[in-house]
Amino acid sequence: MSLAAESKEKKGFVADQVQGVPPWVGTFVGYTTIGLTLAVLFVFLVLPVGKVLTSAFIIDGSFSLEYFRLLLSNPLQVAAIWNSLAIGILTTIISTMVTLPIAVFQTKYDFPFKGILAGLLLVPMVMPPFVGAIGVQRFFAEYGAINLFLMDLGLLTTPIDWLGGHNKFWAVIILEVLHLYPIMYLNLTAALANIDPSMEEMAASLGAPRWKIFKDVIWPLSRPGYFAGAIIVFIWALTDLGTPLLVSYEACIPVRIFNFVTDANENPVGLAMVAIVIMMTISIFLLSRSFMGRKNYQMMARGHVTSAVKPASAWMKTVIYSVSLGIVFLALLPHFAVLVTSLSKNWIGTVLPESYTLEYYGQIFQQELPFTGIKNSFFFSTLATFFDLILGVLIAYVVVRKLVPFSGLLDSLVMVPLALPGIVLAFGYVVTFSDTILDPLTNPTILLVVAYGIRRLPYMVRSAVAGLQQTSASLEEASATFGASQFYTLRKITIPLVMANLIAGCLLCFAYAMLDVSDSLILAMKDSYYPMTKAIYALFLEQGSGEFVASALGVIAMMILSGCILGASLILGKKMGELFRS
Amino acid sequence: MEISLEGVRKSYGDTHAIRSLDLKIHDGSLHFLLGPSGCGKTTALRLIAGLEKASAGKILFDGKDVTNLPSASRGVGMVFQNYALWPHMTVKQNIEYGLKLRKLTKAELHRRSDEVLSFTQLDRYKDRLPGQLSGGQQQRVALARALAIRPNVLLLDEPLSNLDAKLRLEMRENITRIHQQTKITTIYVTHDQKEALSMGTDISLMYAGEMIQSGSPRELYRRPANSFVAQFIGEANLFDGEIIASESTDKQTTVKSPLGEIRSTVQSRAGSGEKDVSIAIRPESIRVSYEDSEEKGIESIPCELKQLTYLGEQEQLILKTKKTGVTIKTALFNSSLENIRVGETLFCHIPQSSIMILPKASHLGPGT
Amino acid sequence: MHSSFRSPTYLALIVLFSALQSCILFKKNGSDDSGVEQLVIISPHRKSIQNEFIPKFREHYEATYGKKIKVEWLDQGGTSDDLRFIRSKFKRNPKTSGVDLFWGGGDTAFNDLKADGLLSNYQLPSELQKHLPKKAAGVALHDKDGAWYGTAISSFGLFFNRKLLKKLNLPEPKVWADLASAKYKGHVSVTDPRRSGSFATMNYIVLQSNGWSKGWDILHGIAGNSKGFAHSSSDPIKNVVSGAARVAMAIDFYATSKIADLGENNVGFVLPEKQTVLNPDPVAVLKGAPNRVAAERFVNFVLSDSPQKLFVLPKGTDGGPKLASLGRMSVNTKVYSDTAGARISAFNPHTLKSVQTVNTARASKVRKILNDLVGVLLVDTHADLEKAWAKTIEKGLKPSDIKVLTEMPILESELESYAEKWNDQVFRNEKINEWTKFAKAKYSRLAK
Repeated sequence: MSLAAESKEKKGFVADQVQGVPPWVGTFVGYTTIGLTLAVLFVFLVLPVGKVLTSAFIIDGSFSLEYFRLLLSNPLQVAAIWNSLAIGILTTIISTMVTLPIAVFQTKYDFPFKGILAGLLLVPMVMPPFVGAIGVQRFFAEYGAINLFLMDLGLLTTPIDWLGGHNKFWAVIILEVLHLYPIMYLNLTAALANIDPSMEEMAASLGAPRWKIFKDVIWPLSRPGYFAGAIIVFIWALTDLGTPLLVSYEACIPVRIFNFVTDANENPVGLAMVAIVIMMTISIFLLSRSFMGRKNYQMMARGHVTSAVKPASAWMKTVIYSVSLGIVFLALLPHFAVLVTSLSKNWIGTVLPESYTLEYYGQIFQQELPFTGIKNSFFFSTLATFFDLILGVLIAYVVVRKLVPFSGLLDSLVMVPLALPGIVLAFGYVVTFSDTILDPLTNPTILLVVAYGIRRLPYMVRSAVAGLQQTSASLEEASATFGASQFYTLRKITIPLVMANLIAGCLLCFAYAMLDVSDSLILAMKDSYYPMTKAIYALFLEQGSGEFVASALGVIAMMILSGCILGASLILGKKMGELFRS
Repeated sequence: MEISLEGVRKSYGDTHAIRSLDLKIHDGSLHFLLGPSGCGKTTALRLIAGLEKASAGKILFDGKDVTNLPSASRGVGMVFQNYALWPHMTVKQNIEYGLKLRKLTKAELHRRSDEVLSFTQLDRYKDRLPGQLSGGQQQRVALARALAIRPNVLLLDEPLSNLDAKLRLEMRENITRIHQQTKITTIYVTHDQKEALSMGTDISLMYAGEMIQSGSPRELYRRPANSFVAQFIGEANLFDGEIIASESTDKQTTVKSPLGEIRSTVQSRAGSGEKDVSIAIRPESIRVSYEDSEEKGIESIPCELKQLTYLGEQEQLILKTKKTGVTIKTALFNSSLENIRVGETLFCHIPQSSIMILPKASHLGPGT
Repeated sequence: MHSSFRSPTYLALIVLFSALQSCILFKKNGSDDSGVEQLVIISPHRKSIQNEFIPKFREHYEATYGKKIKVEWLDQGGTSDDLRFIRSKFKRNPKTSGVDLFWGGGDTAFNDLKADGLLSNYQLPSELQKHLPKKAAGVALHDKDGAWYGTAISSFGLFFNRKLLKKLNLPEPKVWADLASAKYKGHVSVTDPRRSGSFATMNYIVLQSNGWSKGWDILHGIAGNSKGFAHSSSDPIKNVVSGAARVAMAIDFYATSKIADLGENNVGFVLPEKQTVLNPDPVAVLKGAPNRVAAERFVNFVLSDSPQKLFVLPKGTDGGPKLASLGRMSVNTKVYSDTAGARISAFNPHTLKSVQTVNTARASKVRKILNDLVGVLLVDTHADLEKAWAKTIEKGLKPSDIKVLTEMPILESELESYAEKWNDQVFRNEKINEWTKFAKAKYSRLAK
């Protein structure tokens, strides 16, 4: 045996030396990276937002909390805060109820068209701005398609006001759920896929009933993933502007802020409200983190693993298809309405258009703007996704492995962009970077990429954090003992292990960057830099057939993005199956 | 490689995982860190591996201070309790990972990974993922992975605890063989004293973050430093005793105990002037017969047989002394007593040369 | 460690891709700048106006002045965004914003900019002034000091879904006051005046033409009949088309283009007799314009005959816009005689006598307070108002109830004294809070 022989002759042998970099280099690189990450967050988040928000604290040149007093003594604004909290909570609860069964179907059962269904479930998150409102109104307005249809059938004499009066509150929640459940679904599926099925089998073999297995094994183990999705859904619903505007529901925080900030005679009380939302978000995040994410269970290195996915019985298939497709159908109604709008000719006061036309698609092809827009959006969003991937993984790593003393603070700082009204960050960029090398007037590329990135950073960080929390630290330690630097370990061991979570995060980042509104409108001031969403906006505003042409572009955008998502989810599905499994 | 720990302390806030540890591990030894769970042995191992930073004290590799050196630069090979095999890499990739981090030619790299694969009999499985292997195979991969880099020191953290009894015996032999062939300094953490006794060249027994005794297995078994060691390593009958006379010339000590006034001819380990001591007697040193014995150097105590366990080559007896009702455990090999029954009166013959007088380790918690 | 920094292929590809992309993006910007003049315009105008006017201006510029010109067209999405941008630029550097022209957005915005000293005056060449009257039907088309010039005229009126009104047996509205009638409950769509200068003007017309007290009765009725306030001036029209509303307050060109699209039998638009108003759509040279000469040339160009025809002629006609009809009214009188019979609308605002004139000076003075009054009493407390209004209708529209419903927290005579203090944000917000409580109290009294 040569190994033995060699060792004997090399009595007192010196171990192989690790390749020539002294250890402090690794530490140095590590701290530099952390430093750079913090610098990026400071320059592109804290500074611009701070610049805008100072107006909320300064009256006649001195510090004052007067605007906060004024805000909190207005019954309407206080009511808005409570309403938004209620919307956040209800949306999270209902999304959970919607998502849980479909996530379990996807991870525990095998059935035909599983991959396609998984992709379809994600498609509702792709709702192009501006035209979505038209879609919803077209179908659910008092004399919209659905009421007219029911009235034609004689089922209805007076129309139901789906989106009016008291229904507005619930309409907002339902639309939020249908729009946001994919976020929770993605995170939850990734978490469930990470659970070693032998743990369940073990529990089952001990005779635990199914609900008990869920309660005692699956739920605690998937909690980091669920938390990652739930906190984003909650804060999103709390701060989302688009959906309440869609049904013109005014009594909630984001619309109030929007009204204040876009008022021709701008009201600084709005900025005070922004500051309050940021504080609320951070405290809710920290509170729920300590409640939900306090214990994290790292998966031990896996033992012998058999496939957890079992074929669905005929009865189960019926349940799976009807539940999943039912949700997809409801969630895609507005999208369908956009499609019909884009094809409609002379559609007024009837269930469906009297005639159809491809004219508006033709108009798109006559112009340069839509194509520039699509190209720009792809470019900006791809870069923004990479930006998020790098920054997000680093931050998550620092946070989970507690590499710096204030990692909890860093973690909550990263959540701030979720709470920020887009217009505040974008305007902060204008104020901060005008007349610098990054001036959006000259070339907004970098600012757009960073703005897209920063605003979607929370998705990536939450996904990555969830993944890391489920990964045993000993897998990284093992790598360290072999002489690997922290970054080599991160690249070779850690990242591959959390790949499912990262793909989920990238998907969210990319899709929502493609659909970004505020940054796009404000930072891309010249045609040649218009992203797709601003192109949609420009078309939408055109008098005459503007909204139809915009809808047509919206449909094209949806098709492109759905394609990306379906593709990615097929890869993701495959990955989830393959990852670490036989 | 010789490894020394000098006054090493490891605290997490107010809790001390290790209070103050001095330890010397000789070059080429198979050194066991033994102790009940929570005694700090794994922490000690992780300190040596560089996975934890010592709060105080020094760690030396061949006299060189490595206390502040990160794990990556220490050249240790570690086998984790849960193996920590990277689930996304094949067996071969797992093994070659450490090699790739070293300046090796491609040919050298393959030669060495093949060598280790065949050495650990894993050739057939090299393209499998860890998830496709049995527990024993996984354990071998973890070992192979650590060995492939020809470490200065091999660190094993309870490597056999996840295996069944039969595999465990097999792997014990395997590890002993590897150690003998490679002569790599090996530190082995376990709570299983049998593993330590049967395999180790040295054993360090730890309790509550402190080193209790360090030495060869024989030393620890025969000359335990206190009652805790006596009880943890092997089995022992322990009684409280009070020294009533001690003659330093012929090393004789007379002790008052539940067995009566007995005499020991072994050098007492209790400090001079220490009156309250523990008496430890190994079960296998006690002989049993129906007759009283007047032989010199033997303490003969009448007992009643309470329980008998027949194990083939060995019989285990539990007896109760007639006078004081304390329990004595014995292990008889090739016993000539054929038809003994529970309830019968028997005499325990204890050689005075096997009566160990030890300091009481009352602060060490249970068992003393 | 070198291997840990070895860039994977995909990363290299991305970097390459991005480098390539940015080259393209940067090149577009800086390639042909030498010897070419430049003009920077910020404008909330839609793309169709940019598409029709800018190429024509470039041709004109080269033909007239023998030089090429590059026009940068900037936009942040809407009038208030563009205004905020320009103001932030001036805050940084009070001398110049780096932008030459502000074009479009209603005269109130321009009066504000002028008041803040952000516009620079310019006198038109006399030959151009011949066809550009100072006023049309009593509405100023130019600033008296030459700070801004109206480039097109809009009018405001009522847009409605003829088809559904017929189906519901509802009459077509004729004047603003009609929208306040209880029979239109749930059928009206309007926009928040704080977000649309046009709607601020429409509200002002209602108050001016009906008087303070009656005017507020009407505004309360309109708000009560609506299901909420939209955020953009074009939204109400879209709501009428989608079926969310039946009647809307609207700007003429949105309405006429919808009529052209959907047909007179489906939708209709009417200018309220004696209560409509004309509103200019100005252009102004900004203070410290870096390309002042080119900017003034652009003003001349936009106001001259041939470009003005782009506003009034249908698309595809000789001298008309190429891609889309703009459907606005020209400020140039000559255009009307030149295009007689060829225009989209035969209507000529310059011949109108009986148009409601807005007292612009007063209007711009009290506009901010009026907007906040509407904002607080009708928009922000809309949910309470809607309930109170429903109850009032249910109880048979008793005058006593209507009196409670339309009660005002301030007198008309107080407006001007408030106006002086309205830029004090603390004072303003104190008042807003006061009015909010006032409004909630009166509505809840009725809703009981």
